[in-house]
Amino acid sequence: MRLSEQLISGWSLFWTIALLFFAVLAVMGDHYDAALILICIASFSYWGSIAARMITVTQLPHASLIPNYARKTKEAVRHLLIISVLPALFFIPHPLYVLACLGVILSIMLISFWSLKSALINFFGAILLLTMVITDNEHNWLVIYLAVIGACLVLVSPWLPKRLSESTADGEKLKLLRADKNPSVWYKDYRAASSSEHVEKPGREKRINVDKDSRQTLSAHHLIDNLFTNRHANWQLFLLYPLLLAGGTSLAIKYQWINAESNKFMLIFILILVALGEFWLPLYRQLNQRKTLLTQLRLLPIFQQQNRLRTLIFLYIMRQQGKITLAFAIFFFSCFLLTDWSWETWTLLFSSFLLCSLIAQLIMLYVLHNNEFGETGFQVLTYIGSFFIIIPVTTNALSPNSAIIIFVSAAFLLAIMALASLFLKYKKTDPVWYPKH
Amino acid sequence: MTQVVQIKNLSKSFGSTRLLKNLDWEIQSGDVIGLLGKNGSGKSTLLSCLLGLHPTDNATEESSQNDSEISLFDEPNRDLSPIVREKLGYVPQTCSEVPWMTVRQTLDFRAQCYPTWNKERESKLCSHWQLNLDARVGDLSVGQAQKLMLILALCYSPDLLILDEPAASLDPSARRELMTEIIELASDNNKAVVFSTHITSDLERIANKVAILNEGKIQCFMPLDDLKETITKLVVELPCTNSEEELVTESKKLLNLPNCIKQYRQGNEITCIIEKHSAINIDAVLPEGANVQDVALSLEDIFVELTR
Repeated sequence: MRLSEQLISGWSLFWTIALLFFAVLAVMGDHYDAALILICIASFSYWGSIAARMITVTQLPHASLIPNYARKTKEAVRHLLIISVLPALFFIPHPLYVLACLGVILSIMLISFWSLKSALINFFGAILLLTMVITDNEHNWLVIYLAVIGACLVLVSPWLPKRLSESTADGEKLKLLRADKNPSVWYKDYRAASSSEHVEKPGREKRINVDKDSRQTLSAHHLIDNLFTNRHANWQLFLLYPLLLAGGTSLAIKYQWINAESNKFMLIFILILVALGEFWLPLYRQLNQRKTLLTQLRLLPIFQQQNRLRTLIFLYIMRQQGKITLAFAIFFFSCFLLTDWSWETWTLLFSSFLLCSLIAQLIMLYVLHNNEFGETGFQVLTYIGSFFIIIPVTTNALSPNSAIIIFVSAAFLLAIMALASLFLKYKKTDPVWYPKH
Repeated sequence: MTQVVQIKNLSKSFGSTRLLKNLDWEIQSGDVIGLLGKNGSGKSTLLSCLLGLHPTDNATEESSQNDSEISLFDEPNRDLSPIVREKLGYVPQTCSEVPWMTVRQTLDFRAQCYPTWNKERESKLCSHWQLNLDARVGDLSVGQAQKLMLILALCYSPDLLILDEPAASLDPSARRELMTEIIELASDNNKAVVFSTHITSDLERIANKVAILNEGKIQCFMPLDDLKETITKLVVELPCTNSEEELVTESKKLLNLPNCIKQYRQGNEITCIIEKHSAINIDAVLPEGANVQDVALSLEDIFVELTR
């Protein structure tokens, strides 16, 4: 099998086809704007997954030693560009609403078998958007119903069986991280090495040998890096939520749902769901791991040395982020219930909150990924892109139709940025990308 | 015999810690070198720097602002041609292959990069080591991942094979199989193999040369047999009548012998690690009544004594 084919994961292909299928349905229902949004999400799902895989291919530490490696990866990208035109064939208009429903049921069954959380969220997003498009105002209960199911899934997913809540690769990495070295044993070794003394020939300096491998495995930086680089399977989550937020807002304006109280409630509910979903899953994961992290850190001499400040900043942000999220969510919800603020006001507030989150993410990017431009890079790019979409829409500076056009353009721009970041990654880390021979 | 690797003045620091200090080393074709060193002594770093995977320190105070020079097959290691790259095989300590690929996909992809890829050897090793071809690399156990890495490096018979603790996670039978493969590879005189290890029995089985990395330098690099013959341990038992002061004086005398590398004392027993390059005139420095015992050292003993 060629590398280009290997780069497309089965799941990515599945979601791309599913989303495009829904886009076809949207086109058949004359909901061209929704179809475009779905195509954007499909594009993200497809290219994002490829980008994530491509990064792992180019990150091979000894790639520079393998002849033709760079050429092969370039070929793969070229080949992908060609074969990616094929999904366009799915745009054959035909009224198959029944098949769409069957597709939904089948997909949910597949999710429960293969259990990829990001796929679940993606799929939920697609259904939500589609439902918003195909139902009229009288049937908004369906949207609320789906939103409730989605909220429940998002909120309970950390407690779902591991297979459903955590991708296998992440689980394995975590297991390895935890089981690899026993910090207390390592610490004893370190103490023993520190206290041992030998008579040396004069002139030879005494040397304390610390197990380098143990030090690497257990250094605070390494542990923190592990927590953050284990999110390969979830990066789509970060792309999807802001898109949902932007898409939901745009559609709400387009169809004037904001005038009806029930729809207003629904919109707020979705936004709060977005906020919780945005932070809850990664936060839960981090908090869950924090116990292990802290236990290990206390045993590490390195924690008391150069990485202390960095570790403290990390722990502070990690802890505060959860509190801030919850506080803001409660605040916004209270604002909606108790005040007569216009939806523009609180949406702007909500955007400010997301901006704070962006700053927090940037700090984390700076603190923890000094020289890295990986998953967090994608995340930050998405945030930045989303703000350029949300603010003009929510401030009514643009007509809904123009907003939709901007949204779609920005989504494509984001896709391009995501790809650009991939190539930046190439350039920055892969010496074979520009071979001299 | 042609020169495969030449390292001149290699220094490598991590922060304020200087791990490799102006290290010089040469590897010839036909060499099967076992690299020994304590944990954290810089074995993996040395091998990575050798291959150009880690940048070296450009200049050091001691080296009078001279850059380090590392060449592989007469080409600078940072600028290797594809032809030279085809001659290199490297097995890192931990599996760094793409985790989402299956074993079969990984092997197929890598085979496309090497014109000399031996499919038969690939099948043979996969079947001997019972590697599940359909398993994802990320799901492999540590031992299985190491087997995969070894297969990836062995299937194109590289002229220079560098293995970083290749047998650390292998079961005894797989280890034996690996040793056989290395011996087979090394039987061709044009090939060179360098492997770092802590298992001295493996080293004694296949290596024809031993390099001991200690305190940032190659402390000794010589044929295995020569090393065993050269390094010896003398246990000197001084008469019990000697006072503490006399014992210290005698101890200093022994330490000052030109071929004494190390020495430690326990009561009235002084142990000296001696290099037998020149004739030892130990009797001249010993007091009357001292009992001298020459103890032959195993490779493991030599390593322990040299790196104490």
